[in-house]
Order: sequence, then C-alpha cells, then structure tokens
Amino acid sequence: MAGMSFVSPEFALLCLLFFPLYWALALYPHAQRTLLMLSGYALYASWDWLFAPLLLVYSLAVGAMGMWLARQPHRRLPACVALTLSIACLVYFKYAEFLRTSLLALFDVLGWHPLLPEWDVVAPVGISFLTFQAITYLVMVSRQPSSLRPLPQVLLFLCFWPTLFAGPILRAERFFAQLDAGAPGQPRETLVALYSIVLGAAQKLVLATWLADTWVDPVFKSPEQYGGLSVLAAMVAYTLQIMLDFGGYTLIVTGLALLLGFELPVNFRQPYLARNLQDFWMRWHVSLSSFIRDYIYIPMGGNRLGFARTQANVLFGMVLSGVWHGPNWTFVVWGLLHGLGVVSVNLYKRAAGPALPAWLAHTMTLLFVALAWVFFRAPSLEAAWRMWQGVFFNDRAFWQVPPGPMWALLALVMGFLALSRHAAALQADLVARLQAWPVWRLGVLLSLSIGGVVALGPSGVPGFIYYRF
Amino acid sequence: MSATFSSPQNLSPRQLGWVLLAAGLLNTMLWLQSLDIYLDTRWQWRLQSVLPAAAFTPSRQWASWWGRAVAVVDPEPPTGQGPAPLLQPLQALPVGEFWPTLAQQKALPGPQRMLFAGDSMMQGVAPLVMRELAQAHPDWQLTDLSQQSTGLTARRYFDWPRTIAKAIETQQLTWVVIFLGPNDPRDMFLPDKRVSFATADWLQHYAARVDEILAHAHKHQVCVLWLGLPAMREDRLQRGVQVLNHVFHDRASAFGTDYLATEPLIGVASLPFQKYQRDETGPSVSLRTEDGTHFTPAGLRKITQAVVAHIEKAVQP
Repeated sequence: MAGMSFVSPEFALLCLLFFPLYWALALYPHAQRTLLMLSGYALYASWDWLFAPLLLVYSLAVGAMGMWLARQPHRRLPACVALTLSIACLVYFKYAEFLRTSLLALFDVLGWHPLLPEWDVVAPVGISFLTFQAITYLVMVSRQPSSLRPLPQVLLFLCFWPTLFAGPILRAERFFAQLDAGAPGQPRETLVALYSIVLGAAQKLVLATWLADTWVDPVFKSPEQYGGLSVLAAMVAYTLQIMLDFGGYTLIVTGLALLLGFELPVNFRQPYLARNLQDFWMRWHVSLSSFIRDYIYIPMGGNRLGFARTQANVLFGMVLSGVWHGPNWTFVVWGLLHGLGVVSVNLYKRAAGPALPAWLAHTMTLLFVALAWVFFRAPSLEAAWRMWQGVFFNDRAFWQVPPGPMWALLALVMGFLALSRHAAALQADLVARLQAWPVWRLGVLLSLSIGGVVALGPSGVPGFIYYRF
Repeated sequence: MSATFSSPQNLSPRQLGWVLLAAGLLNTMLWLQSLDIYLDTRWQWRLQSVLPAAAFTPSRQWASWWGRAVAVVDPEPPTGQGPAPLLQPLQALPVGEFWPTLAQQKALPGPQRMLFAGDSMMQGVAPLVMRELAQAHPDWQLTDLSQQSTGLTARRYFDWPRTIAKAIETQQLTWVVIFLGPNDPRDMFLPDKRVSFATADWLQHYAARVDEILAHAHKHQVCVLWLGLPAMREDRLQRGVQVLNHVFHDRASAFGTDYLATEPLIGVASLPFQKYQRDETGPSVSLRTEDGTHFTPAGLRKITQAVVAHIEKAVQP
C-alpha cells in the first residue's frame, strides 16, 4: 500500500496544475475551499480508495459531535463521551491487534487460553495525527461553544492535506483563526515557502536516504555482521536520519501550506542542540509534545499536585507519547526511557545538583537521545537489544570495515550540528538576498536546485518515517 | 525593467506560477527518461506511449552526462535465448491445491557462499535466515541484495537477472535464494510491443527471465532456491500469485532446481486470503501485516524456519 508521496514526481507535476488553479480561485473562496477539500480527499484516496469515505464519515461524526457538544448546558461529561469515541476509533484501527496479542501473551503466562476475536482491519494512513487534530476541535468547542464551526469547515480542517498524513498537529483554533483572518487562499512568504520545500526535499531525498541506504538499514537489519564501530555509527546515522527525514518532511509541508496561504505550527527548534531532555522535548516534534502537555499532562494536574504526582504525570505523558507512535513495545520502551530521563533531570534539579558545563550537558543529552532512538527504529525489543549488544559485546573486531565512508558520516554530523546553531539566521539572510533577485534568476536557481535534488536523490520514491503513524 | 522582472519582496501568484512552471517543465524535460521509468514502475504507465521519441533525447543526453545512462527498453535476454516454452500450460489449480515444494539439489560440501535476492518480502526474510545460518555456520558467506519495489517484469528499473549473474561471478556463489513477485503481476513492455499480463506471450517472456537466472546458475553449478508466493489480500495480486507460482515451479522443474512452497505455511492462493492462522494448540496468530502482502514477525518466523530447514537438508552429505 503506497499512495502519492509529497516527494514524488507525480505530486510535483500535479502541483503545477493545482496551485495556479487554486490561486486563480482566490476571489471565490467557496470554490477555492471546495477545491482544497477535494484535493485532500483525492490525495487520501490515492493510498486506498476506501480511506476517503472513512475520512468523510469520521469527519462528519466529529462535526456532529461538535454540534451536540455545543448544545449541552453542562459539557464535561458529553466532552468525555465525544473524546472517548474519537479515541476509540484510533484504538480500533491501530491498537486492537496489539492489545489482543499483548493480552494473549499475558494470559499465556497465567496459564489461561481464552479465544480473543481476530482483528483484520487496515488503519488509514496518518490516523494518529487525524485523531489528535479532531480532539483539538472537540476540546475547543467544549470549552467555547461559540467556536462551533459549520460542517463544511470541519470537513476542510480534517482533510487539510499538508497536515493530513504526518502532521505537524494543527490545532483547530489555529486553523480556523487563519480561515477567519481574511483570504488565506493567496500564497504567503513565497520565498520562504520555496526555500523550505527545496531544503526539505534535499534533506529527505539526498541526505536522509543516503544515511538510510548506506548506514542505517544494512546494520539495523543484521547488526551481527558488523563490528562495534559500525553499529555505533549506524546509531549515530539514524539519529541524524530521523531528524533529516521528519524535519525535511515538516519543511516541505510547511512550504506547501504557505503556498496554500496557511501557516503551520513550528515542529522543530534545532532539537539536537538541547542541553537536557526537557529542553529536547521543547524542540523535538513540538506540535506533539505541546499537545501532550496541553491536552493530557495539564488536565491530569500538571505540576500543581506536588513533586511526586508531577513526575508520575510526566512519566505517563511520555509513555503515551511513545505508544502514540505505534502498536509496538519498542515505542513503549522508547517513551518510558524518555520519561525516566526527564524525571531524572527533575530529580537532579530538585537536589540542586551543580550545573554541568554546556558541552557536557549537550553531549550527554545527545547520547541519551541517540541510544533511545534504537528502540524507535528497531522492529522489536530483541532487535534493539541486538543493536546495543553489537556495540558493547561484539565478537567481531571493533574497527571492522564499516558499511560506508566514515569520514562522510562524521562530516555530515559535524556539519549538521554546526549549521543547526545558525539555521534561522542563515535562512533569514538567504531569503533577504533572494528578495533582491529578479524573478528570472529565482526561476533559474529553483530549476537548478530541483535538478540537483533529483540528480543526487534515489531512483525510487522513499517513504517517510512518520507516514506510518 | 517591467514589473514582472522587478525585485520581488514576495512573488505574486502569477509570478510564482510562471517560476514553478518553468522549473517544473525544465526538469521534466531533463529527467524525462527517468520519469518514464518511474511512472512505468510505480503506476504501470509509460510516457513513451504518448510522447514522440524525440522528446526523450535531451533527457538521455543529460543522463549520460551525469553518468546515469538509463535503459530505454527492458534489456533483452542473452543472444539465442528466446521466449521459454513452459513445460505445462497455465491452468487454474483446484481450490485448496498449490504447487508443491521441489527439493532436487544437493550442495557441494564445504562453506557455502549464499546470495539473497528479491523484493521487500525478501528484505523481511533474509536477515532472519542469515542470522540463523550464520549462527549454525560461522564460516558461510551470506549476502543480502534484496531491494524493495523490484521484480522481473520492470527490468529496466532493476535488472535482477544481470545483478544475480554478476554476483555469481564476482562472489563465486554456491547458492542463490530468491523471493519476489508482488511487483510483477502487470503488463510487460518489450521493445516492439506491450504484452498483457498472464497471456501465453507474457508467460513465455517472464519464464525467459526466470530461465536467464537459472541458466546462469546452472552453468556455474550454483544451487537455486526459489520461494513461491503465498496468498495475498489484494485480488489482483492473489490472481498473480497463481500465475507466478506456476512459472517458478515449472522452471524449477525444468532446470532441476529447488522450489519452496510458502502457501502451506502462510496461505494457499486458491483459497480466500486469511490474515490469521490457528495453531493446533495455541490461539490464532496474525501472519500478515495490514497490507496483506508482507509478513508479521510470526509469518516471517514460519518462512525462515522453512528456508533454513530446506537449506540444511540440501547441504547434508
């Protein structure tokens, strides 16, 4: 099952037809929004035609629940019912089989062998993101019934294709505020948009693909065939790959949304420059971490119920963040590791431990994040353990010839970290320079950039890591 | 200087449209040949069928300038090897039946040098088989070249017969294990014609590609284990499995090589697709991922055990 990717040639060619038509309809907002909605459904149906009616039914249900919520005098219980129903949908499609096998394993340990129903359903792509966006709408309406939206607008929000497949999680308030602010159907910050799309495509197609093909995939597949240094290098490579893959994807959809006239929330703030795990989570996948903070952690009491309860809330939120990524124990362990890491940071601060030198804090954080990523990438806990074993308990020579040029990997890592510090300034400076260029020169530069990405990219269309969530 | 060419703070929709169109058309022209191969592989649609041959000239020159010469048509089998007549004509097997495993080879004694070739199905199976074999035989050389989205039909996208032939010679292989197929139930584009899937012509040309691998292996005394395909969720693939397994089994019979039926392990293609399988003692286990093509860890385990057992038996004196 593979649909139309945002980095596929057919998508790029369709954009050449779609965007001029979309902009031409700016004077006719209804027609323009209808086109936007239809394009969202068409893209969703490209993965599996059944997904489109499913999305429609789900969106209609969310819209109807919103209307029902807005009419209730006391909305706490109805809101719980509405949220439970929308989450039940996610559980049904994504977690039922995981729950079934986990329960069977548990019952097996207890010596009980019940017959649980078999579960053969196909989860619509991006259902985790869709559910969270739906939740933001339901919560918005339950808090402020006057914010209720007409059904067509709810449908548009839930099929808004830049965020439909892999985020960033766009909150209802933010989307509708832009819709209300005037005519979003004109391209905004066009040079930033083009810069984002080209940079994102280069990150994804050239750099992340090279890291995956050369280092990550071969070693994660068979770590026992490589020496300790290669396994360690693969972990480092994956740390960079996931950043370039997801960060590149976010840049692309941010640029596409700007061309549609919408602004997406910031999803990354140079996370690998973080000096502790709290800091990391304020920089990595910000739209998810802030969702968990605002919709789970704070409603659970946040830090208002004492130190111990705060740490329990942190741990719960982080494990939930892990589980959200997929029905696999590897994600549970990944979330748990990060939760324990954040709790440790809190304990250290509470014990008034001495402030670590910046370089040491940065290195420790990056090391922790890289080691935890192993659980994110490995298909099973056993496979993750084999990777760790590959570094520390390996029969092969530590220096055995690695699967790729080590100098290139080191150069890429060092270059990335160095550029991260100046990314915002570099972007602002470059865009300012481009603003002074005539249009024809921009066209030439864009052509060369696209050509360069195509020339250096893979022959097929690689999938995005976050598409599976 | 006209307004259109003034320094823009923000491009207008009209300017932006022209810039995108120019960049898009220029790159389409320069990469047209690659785009044709991509569209052919991904959507089974060829630009060659709607554009004149001259339209591809700039992209061919550009590609060769980049050192990325791309095949215009599928490479032909070696001289003298034409379409292969099948031993048995294609026939629908009775419901519940499948082509059985063939174990006709004995490996030469000593450490084996084994290649794993195939598509994303093999990408799942190969690491597990390699791990088991490496533990039992640390002196064996095991190489995995499997690559997703590949097969034998779209040969100009990825040429397995030539890749395997090259590996046989450079690595002095003793075994080739092949598991592919879900990307193959589709029409074949030959230099002079389009051949519809599952027609007699298609079967002969597809069999010729299988033969090219088997003949090269036979010439170099390399054992080949070809894995048959199990049932698939998608109707198109389910029908394709029955056709492809017929060819794989037929050609293995003709060359005296091995064929391992995965249908009894995972699901018989002449029966409705089932994701779950119930063991005699335990609860039902899901063997397939959501897409109904690939395998869960439990499914991979079953295939791995069968492959390892088959190879172990073949290397016993």
